[in-house]
Amino acid sequence: MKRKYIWIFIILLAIYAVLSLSLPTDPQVLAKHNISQAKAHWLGLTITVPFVLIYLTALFGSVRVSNYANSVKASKEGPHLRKLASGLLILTFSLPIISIAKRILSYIALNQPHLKPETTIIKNYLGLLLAFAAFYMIGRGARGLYATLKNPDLFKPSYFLLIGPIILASVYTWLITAQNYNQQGQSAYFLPEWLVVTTLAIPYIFIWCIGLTAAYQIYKYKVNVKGSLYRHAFANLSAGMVFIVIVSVFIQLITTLSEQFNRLNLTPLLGVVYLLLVLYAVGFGLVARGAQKLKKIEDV
Amino acid sequence: MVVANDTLYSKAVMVTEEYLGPAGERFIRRHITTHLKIEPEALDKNSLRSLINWLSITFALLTNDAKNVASFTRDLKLLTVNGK
Repeated sequence: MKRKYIWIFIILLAIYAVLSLSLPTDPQVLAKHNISQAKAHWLGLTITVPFVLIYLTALFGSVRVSNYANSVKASKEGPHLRKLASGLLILTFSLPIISIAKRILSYIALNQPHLKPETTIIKNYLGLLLAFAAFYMIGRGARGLYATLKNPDLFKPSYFLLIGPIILASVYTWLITAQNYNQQGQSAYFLPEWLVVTTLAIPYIFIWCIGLTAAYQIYKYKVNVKGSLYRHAFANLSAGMVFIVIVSVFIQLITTLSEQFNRLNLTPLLGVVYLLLVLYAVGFGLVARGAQKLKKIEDV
Repeated sequence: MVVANDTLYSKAVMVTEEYLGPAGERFIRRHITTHLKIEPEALDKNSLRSLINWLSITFALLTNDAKNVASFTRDLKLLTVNGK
């Protein structure tokens, strides 16, 4: 992987850290929790440092996969592994990019309250765009990798497997539209409900279905690929990818609903987000370990 | 890389793929060109005999399972007896 990407990522992390520790917190939030601006900065530090460490773990995992994919680029699996690696890199870069954008947009909304609708809309669609780019690449990579198997089973999901996406779609659409309006009749997304459903709910559910299908195909590849040692080395990579995709889906689900959850004052939800981010780091750790084992086969 | 099915090299690739999957061909090709300095398709029984030790030692770096290493070595040795 090119060194310049690593430097860009580190610069993004530095920007995120500086913004997190320097931009003022919304006075309404301070009043709600009865804390001073200085105390809020200290609290910010306890959040920023773990986040930066998690983001670095994600970078480490992505770089390892990228290096492995580059080392086998001429093989029939190479192009598909590179797509998987690109998807992981987009997912990794989206972490600081979204964090920075949120900080800046929240600051703009704080100083220019009339711009709150625009900043909220930009935040929501930026997340959607990056999630789509990452899952699209992961989906293409997983599909291609699965197709390299000599006798891939036909992907024939049972009718009962459709229940999962149906529940996901129904619950998500219900959550995104329920509690959408506050007492002043203002939408949490500053968009009409039909637009929220068609341009946020449906695309997100589509993206998640791509991601979950990719996770399933990577798992099936691991089960069916030839070579006892290779299968063993691929197991970590496969488990990490499945982990990352599932955790990403949950993080995206919670963050798109965060405006509504904020209104409901569900602070424990923040704990759930932290837990998911830690699981995210575990996923990237597994991916890094798997890629290292696979790279070793190519190096000896 | 497309390999003809009836050469000793292709048989060695098939054996290696049983253990190293898609990485098998790259593994054996690398060792033939590095240690024997010949084209992989030119592999014959004598060359393979001299390569087996290298392959076994390298394979042992990838796994702690001695049975697996012994089985891999045995399968390759069989080719020098029965291979073309």
